Amino acid sequence: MLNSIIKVDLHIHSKASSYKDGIIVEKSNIDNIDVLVDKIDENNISLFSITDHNRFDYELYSKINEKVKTKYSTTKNNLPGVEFDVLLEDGKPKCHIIAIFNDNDQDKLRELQNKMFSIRKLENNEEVYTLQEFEQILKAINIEVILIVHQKQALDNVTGQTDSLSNATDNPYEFIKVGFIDALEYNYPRVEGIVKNSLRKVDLDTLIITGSDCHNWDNYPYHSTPNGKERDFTSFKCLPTFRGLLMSITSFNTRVNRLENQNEHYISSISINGVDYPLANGLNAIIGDNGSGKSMLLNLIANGDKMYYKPLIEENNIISRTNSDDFQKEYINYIEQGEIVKSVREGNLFDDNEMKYYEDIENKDIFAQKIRKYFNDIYDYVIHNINVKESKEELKRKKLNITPINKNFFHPVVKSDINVEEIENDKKRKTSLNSIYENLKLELDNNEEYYKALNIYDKLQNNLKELKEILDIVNKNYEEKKNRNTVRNLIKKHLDNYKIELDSQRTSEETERTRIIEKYDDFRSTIINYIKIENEINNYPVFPTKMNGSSIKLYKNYEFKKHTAYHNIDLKDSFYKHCFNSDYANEEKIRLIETRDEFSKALKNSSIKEIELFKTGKLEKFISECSKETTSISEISSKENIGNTPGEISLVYYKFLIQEADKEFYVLVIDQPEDDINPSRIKNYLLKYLSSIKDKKQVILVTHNPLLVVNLDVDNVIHLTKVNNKIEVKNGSLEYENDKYTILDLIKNNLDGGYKAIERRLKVYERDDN
Amino acid sequence: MNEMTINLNIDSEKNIVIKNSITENSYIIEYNTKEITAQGIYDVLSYKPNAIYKIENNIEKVTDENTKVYFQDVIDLVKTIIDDINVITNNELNDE
Repeated sequence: MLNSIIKVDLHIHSKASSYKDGIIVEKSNIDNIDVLVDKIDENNISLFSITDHNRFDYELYSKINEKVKTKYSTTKNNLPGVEFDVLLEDGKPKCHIIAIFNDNDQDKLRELQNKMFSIRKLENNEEVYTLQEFEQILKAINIEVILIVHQKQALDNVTGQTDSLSNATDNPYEFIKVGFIDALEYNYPRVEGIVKNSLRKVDLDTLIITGSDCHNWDNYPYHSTPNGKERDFTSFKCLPTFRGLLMSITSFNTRVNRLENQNEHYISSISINGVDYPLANGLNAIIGDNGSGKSMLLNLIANGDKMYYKPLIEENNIISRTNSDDFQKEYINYIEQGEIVKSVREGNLFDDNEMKYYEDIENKDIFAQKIRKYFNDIYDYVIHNINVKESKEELKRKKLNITPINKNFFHPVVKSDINVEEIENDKKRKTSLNSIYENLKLELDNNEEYYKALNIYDKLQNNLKELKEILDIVNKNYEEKKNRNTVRNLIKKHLDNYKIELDSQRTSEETERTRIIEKYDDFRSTIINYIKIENEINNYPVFPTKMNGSSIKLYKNYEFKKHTAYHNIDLKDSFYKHCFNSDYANEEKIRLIETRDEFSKALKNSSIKEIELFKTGKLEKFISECSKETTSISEISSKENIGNTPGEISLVYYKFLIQEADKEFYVLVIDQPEDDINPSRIKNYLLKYLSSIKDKKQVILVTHNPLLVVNLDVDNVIHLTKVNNKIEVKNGSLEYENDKYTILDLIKNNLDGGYKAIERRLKVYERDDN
Repeated sequence: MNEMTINLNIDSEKNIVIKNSITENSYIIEYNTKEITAQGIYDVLSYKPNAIYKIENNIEKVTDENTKVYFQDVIDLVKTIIDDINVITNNELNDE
């Protein structure tokens, strides 16, 4: 059974007060119960109490209850109560304390007045109970009780005789602080503000309610005669029961004077095995053991896209119903278990097509280029060392036997070998510069007005012009080299052709001598090549410096941060470990490589022959892993230092989602929002965020955390069990109880720490235990 | 720029002694094998960056025609090597 917003009046008198009030309560007797009950209904009061001065008329109480139950079943209730005159301190005026008792033990209630009188029976207006007597009475009655004290003026106003707490003691705040009383009662609306202001001054927060103090039922809700002014009542969101009242008093900030939820679209109920279980258009918590079907239910409510839940849904005939036919699935904002943490880790938190919350990280390409270049430079370095070594070995092997050569060949000796110029690097530089030039040109063409507004358009045009001139030089140089190489190749081609032609014309002696000359040339080349290669500068490349691979975008007091794995990290060790086998996984080892076999051995799962494959596979994988983005969100002006753990980020995410996100939703469905968030953060923040939308949206949570049930003070608890694939449901508001179960017991027994959470919440019981 | 002179001298046994006048490194091509090694030549040249080589020889003292042809071949071989090295050096100097 779900609770609703109800009006309460816990201060009504009857004829039993006549020993003090005289004639004005004369007609408020057992014969006029109908009058009272009708007036209660006319004023939409759901929970009330007859609280006579130092008296309890059990017969009247029972008769009223009989009438109320017959007429209104469980929608209205009359709780047993007494208004005591108590002297808190000697020499001070008395104060009025209203005691509202639990109605779960009729035998004790029947004896209630006798227990009072067993301590002392007050006989006239002058008599009062001492504090000690009052406490003895409560002990003798031995029923759970809620105490409400009159406060008809400011708490620091100790003058007058208004039966208020502040008249009766020099230190009214102490009685509130220690929890001796549960609430203050004011009589006029203006007094509410005065009392609240008094409490605010000393940083105290306690429940303040109003009661009619009606003495004449004919003129209910007025004291005795109508004054023509409309009477306001305190409203609670609770069941009209003692436990409902208790829950409201222990969590008055979430229960008292709440507004009706204006949310237009919500899930109205869940039907399981033919039984409808209502959902509150407010806060709902689904609890139960692992595997009891909680996430299945949430998934069904949200979108029903998980096929593996289908057999269970069909077997239990589970249907989700909405409050209107035009309800759209898009109205639901569904956050699956671990979704935020996963999104944070995968870098797609707030990956929303409709809204781009994050800035791109601009230097990812640069990072990739730097790593590729570093690897290529290492490759070139090692290959150079290998070439030096091989060339040296060749030098050692090379021998020549001098055979005198007769210079007077009939046919010329043709040497067609010719070195071509290296132009690959020229080509790369040309392409690279051209790309920069074209991009800058495009940028200027597309954003002319922007740069003109900054007065830098002409400057940029000049830069572009200069860049074009530089590009022309590089282009020209490349073209010239290319042309020269073309000429060289042409010459070689012709000489080779000529050589072939000559070879066919030579005498055998000439052929022999030509072969000798070629051997001479080969000999010479070996020496020259070695000299060249040995004297080439071969520096070991320097690993790229740490790069800032992050971006921050500001939006509505939040920073949307994105950062790569390479962000401000020295990746040198990781690079070597990723690319090279453990025996070679550092710079010193790579420097010493001199043979192709060794280099192949060094490359992880690869070889020199497969180097291109290595670059496109292993190396690119390293770049991709390092470029992986993670996202986070934090508040700019938060006084709290929010960490970067997934749990902390989740917390800010919830706050943003609930308070600031542009995305409209009517129903928020979250599977275990408590994941990764520490308990104090849940208590101090998450509860606050979720509570802030309890009257604006529908929230449906799956949780194992009692704080998110008891402290959040959810409107509805759904407890699931599954036996042999059959799902059973128990549900209701926190205060709900029936013959088979109480919701609080289900929480106590099913959630870790549930017992403690409830104990803290219902500390009012402790008074009775002592 | 370091200038180095490579001396090629043929002795009475027709062995050719190649000597670097700066480093005093030398290499001998024995007449009976007429074998010349690349490493031997490299060592005698003692190449240093910016080195410019010139060659000197005593071919004018050789009277026997066959020996002269043989010695000239060796001189030409060393000269072609030196010429190539000088090209490298000149390129380096131009780059600077």
